[in-house]
Amino acid sequence: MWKYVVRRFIGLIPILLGTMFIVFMVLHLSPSDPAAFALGEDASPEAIWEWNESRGLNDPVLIQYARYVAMVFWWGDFGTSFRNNVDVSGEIMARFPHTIRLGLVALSAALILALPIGILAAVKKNTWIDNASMFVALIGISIPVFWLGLILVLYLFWLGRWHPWSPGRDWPSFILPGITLGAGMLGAMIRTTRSSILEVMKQDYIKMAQAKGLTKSNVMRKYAIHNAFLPILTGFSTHLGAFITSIILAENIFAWPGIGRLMTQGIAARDYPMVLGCLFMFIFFYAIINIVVDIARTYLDPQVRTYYKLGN
Amino acid sequence: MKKSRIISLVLASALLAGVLAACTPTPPPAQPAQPAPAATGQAAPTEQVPAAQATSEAPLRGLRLATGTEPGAIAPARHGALIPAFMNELTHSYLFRVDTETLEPVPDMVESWTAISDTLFEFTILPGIMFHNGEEVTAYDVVASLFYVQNYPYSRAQHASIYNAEVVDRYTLRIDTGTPNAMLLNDLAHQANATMPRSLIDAGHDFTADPVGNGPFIFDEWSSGDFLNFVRFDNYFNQERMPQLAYTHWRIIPEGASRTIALEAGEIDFIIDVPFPDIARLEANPDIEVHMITGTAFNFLIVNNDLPYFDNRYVRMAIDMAIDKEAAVLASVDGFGIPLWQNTPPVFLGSSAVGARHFDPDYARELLAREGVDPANINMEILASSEEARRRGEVIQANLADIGITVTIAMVDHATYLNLTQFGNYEAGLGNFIAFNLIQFLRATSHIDFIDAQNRGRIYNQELSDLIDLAIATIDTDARTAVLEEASRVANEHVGKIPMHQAILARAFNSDFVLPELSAAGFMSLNVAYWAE
Repeated sequence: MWKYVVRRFIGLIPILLGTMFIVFMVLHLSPSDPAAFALGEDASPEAIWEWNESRGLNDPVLIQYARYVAMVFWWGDFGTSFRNNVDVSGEIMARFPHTIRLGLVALSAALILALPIGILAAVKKNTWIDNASMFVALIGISIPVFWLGLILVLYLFWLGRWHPWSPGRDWPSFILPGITLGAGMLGAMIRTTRSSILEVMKQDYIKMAQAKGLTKSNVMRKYAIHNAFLPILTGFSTHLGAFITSIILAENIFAWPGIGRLMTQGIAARDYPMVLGCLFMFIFFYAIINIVVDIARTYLDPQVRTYYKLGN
Repeated sequence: MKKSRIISLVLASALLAGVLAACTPTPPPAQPAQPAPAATGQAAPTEQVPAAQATSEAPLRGLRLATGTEPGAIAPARHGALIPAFMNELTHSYLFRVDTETLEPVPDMVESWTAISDTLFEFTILPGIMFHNGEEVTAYDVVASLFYVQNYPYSRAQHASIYNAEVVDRYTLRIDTGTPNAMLLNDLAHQANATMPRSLIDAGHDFTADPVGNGPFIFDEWSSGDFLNFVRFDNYFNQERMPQLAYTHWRIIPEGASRTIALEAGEIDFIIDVPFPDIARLEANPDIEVHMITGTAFNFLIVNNDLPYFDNRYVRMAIDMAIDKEAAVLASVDGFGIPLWQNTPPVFLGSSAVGARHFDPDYARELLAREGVDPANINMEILASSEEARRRGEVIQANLADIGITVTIAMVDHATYLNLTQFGNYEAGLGNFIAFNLIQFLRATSHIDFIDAQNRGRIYNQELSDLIDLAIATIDTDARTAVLEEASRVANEHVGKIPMHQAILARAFNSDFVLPELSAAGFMSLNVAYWAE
């Protein structure tokens, strides 16, 4: 089993290198000069050249990439921001707890609600409960984050003069960004849970349990939910990418001082080190969560567990 | 089976713990406190006490502002942006300041000044002006700062008038402009030439982290992505303009609708950049006051003067006359702008409408026909870097289609727009320029020397450039105004860029707050603002 875990973590390195390479190239191929943006419209060509030279931006892109990779992986240094000369690692570490807190609230709330709703929808299939659940799920999946966020801000204030606003400082400030961010995950997980349960309910061993006279709740509790948990877990890791993208949008709408907003500012200012640093964090955590989910799956799935116990 | 149950329990607990942990409040930012000036062995000339405290009135209130843009840096001369310039106005005093009514420089730190010759000026600064670190401002600090800021390229134009500077005595200095330069006093009123303590400059102090100055407010805290705080400086030298606010707290709220609602909900007191669609609603609110003023931001359609067709001034003139500017203002900024037909901002002294045109599509067609230009051959791609610009572009697209010119609109981000237009890799683009005076505007947007820089239209008119140079070299105000009027006429007739509209500046704030000064350039002089209660 440990071999598997180690293998997964080693596999993380090419993923990080590959994604960083793509982002690095996209940033450097975009038709804009970070020097001209950082130094302002008055800057002379000499000043721009010096600025680029001092940051190694006059070198070939591949050399720059190699240097960046060495800096990040060898020294753990994400460089200095082009925009305000601050240490990128320090800035990310200062902002990251805000993003983690918001992400955890939204994710936890979405999962806590989605699992029972999805199970209930499966149990009460083709009833009004199922239809209502699917409607909620459809709304959650379909509404774009940026639109939902603005609508919530506008209408809740107009309706009840209610506007909790101190990003990250008190619990009411989590409500609107939490709903905005969690809606997509809630919808997706309701559907995943429902379909997984329904799939399991068709299996022979469920019919066997029912034939043996077990009550519906016992069948559900002892066999259906347990066996549906694996596809639910897989579904969760699939939806995580969209969730992380939504964090960037939600942070901008609600002025949340997290790394999603930091990255947006970095993109606007062509602040390559800041954009790359923020993306690295997103990719790293996305990959880590996926690894954790996969490890959990191996523990929960007897077939996989046995496979690894046999020394594979 | 047991393991699975344990894992399920752990996962469920983690979910609940996530909710609880994430909702744990972080402590609110510390209430800004007045830092004590550092001991320097030299006492302040007079004991400065906040007026309200001196009269045993209630303690001074602070002001909470919201802005959409977080500054990259707030050290003077280390940026070229407007929001940090507003903050520099808090932390620094300059030799001169720009009068909010006339936009002309008036003495601030300077007690007196004389022109020794056309190129040599002597300034005497007020004694007893204190820096935030407790040191007294001397001519040595001013001269050291003037040289120090030249290390930074952000405001090259504002450094150009200062050829040399030298100390005469503790409070007197001389500045040599090299050649006659009427821009000197304007440049000395700009944040790019702010004064910093010489001792800190020599010690290699990081002014980006701690912008020590001598302004009415002291920089206190910057929580990245969240807020900036500035607290009242009790030893500010100008008694008449002593701050009446305990602090200013600047919140960064990128989303316009969120800023408006934060103001309506009373969570902030002041919005810097008010979204135009919200203005009517805010004006209807008795608890909120909306202050509007014609700004100096000049919005235009630049066409690349180097390209075929656009190098013909009659084609440019035809394009200008075919565009319904009023419709463009309505579509892009909800009518909060002044449609323009002249090529210089009318708010400035020396700006003239002589030679300007008007909306006349028939005459535009006639001009093209007279020049033998088939409009079907003109295909124009307009770069737009904001939604507002895109909407303006759509009006232009419809208007030019009426005279047979095909227009496409390309949305690009601002950095790309700047890069493409700076070096002429474009056909047309929608941009703007914010200036503090007409010389600055004309020099940047229309002078030959600024091609490949801010002269994005690549306007090449020797007569216009010579007139701009002459205006810079003309010290006498009346004579300079006459030169600028002539330059405006030439700019109007040359139609190097297509004027669109003059922006209207809006500030919205709590109706109990009094904002006595708001300049067309957007500066608010928050040190003279106060709460009416």
